Amino acid sequence: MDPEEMKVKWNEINSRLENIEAVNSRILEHIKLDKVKSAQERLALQYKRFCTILPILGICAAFNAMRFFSTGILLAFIAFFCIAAVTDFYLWQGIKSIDTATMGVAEVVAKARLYRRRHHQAQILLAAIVIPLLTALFIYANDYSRIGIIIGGVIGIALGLVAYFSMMRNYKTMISAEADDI
Amino acid sequence: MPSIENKDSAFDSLISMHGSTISKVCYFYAIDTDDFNDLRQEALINLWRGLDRFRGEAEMSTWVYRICLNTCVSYFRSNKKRRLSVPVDECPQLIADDTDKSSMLKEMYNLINRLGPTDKALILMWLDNYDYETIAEVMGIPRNTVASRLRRIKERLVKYSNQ
Repeated sequence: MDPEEMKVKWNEINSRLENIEAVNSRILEHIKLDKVKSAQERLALQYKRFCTILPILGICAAFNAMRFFSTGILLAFIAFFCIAAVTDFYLWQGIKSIDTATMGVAEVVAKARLYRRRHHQAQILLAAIVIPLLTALFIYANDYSRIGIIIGGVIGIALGLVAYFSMMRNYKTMISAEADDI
Repeated sequence: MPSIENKDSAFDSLISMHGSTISKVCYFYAIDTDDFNDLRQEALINLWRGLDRFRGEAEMSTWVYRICLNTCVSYFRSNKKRRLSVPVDECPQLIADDTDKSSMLKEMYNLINRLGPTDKALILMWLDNYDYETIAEVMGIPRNTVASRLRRIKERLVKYSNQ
């Protein structure tokens, strides 16, 4: 089928697509009442929550651990949470800046790609920081705390690997679809 | 800003006039029927949010097209495991009584889906008879780029079709 032939047959598609089930009126009502958030808004909100909570969490955790660890380790601990908060703040602002009503498609594609890539890069960076940090915590902890670090570390690594492989799968799909586009 | 009642009725008439455009764009970007419903809902939310800012500088149909394309190309799919869903090209509502028409629709879906998101947007607008100036404006790229990219896309579609 060549493109001109496709164009001729396009009307058939249009009439077929008119048969698609109409939009559920309940969904429309929810949209009108602003009860439904878009995926973009949900994602931005998620980043916003993280960038607000993470520094507080880091300081609270460091404050609790003051008795057990040296100042250097505690500062590294706080720095880790602050770096995570900064990357989330950057991603929150970036996702929020995508305006589907006024931007051109090329700009939106470029921005969506950029922030997806930055998200993965941030994950890799944070994983690279957390491994030596956990090792240091483990070395300087007492026996009682070590058990907690091992349990927490195993659960964290398992969850992290599941999330990482799931994201990499999506990333590969995205790259193969976009390869033709460049 | 229009009043709530005005916005409500403007939105209703937008959907009745351009509902098929919204479905068409989402259809060509969807992976399966669940994805199609998610994309369409996403496009509707963005249309509702953007309605206050529509000043009528562009045709309503072009504005709807722009929001639908932008929604589809920037859609942030969640990582949740998807339910076993019907592939969108096998959606029962789209399968025509005529087998030839059904296979033609499926072939067209499969061909267009081999393109990346920007190229897909270009070919959809071209198939819908938009002129190069309008396509360039919606895409945010120069007119000459539209022409050259469309030429390359058409060549690729012919190649894919012959494979």
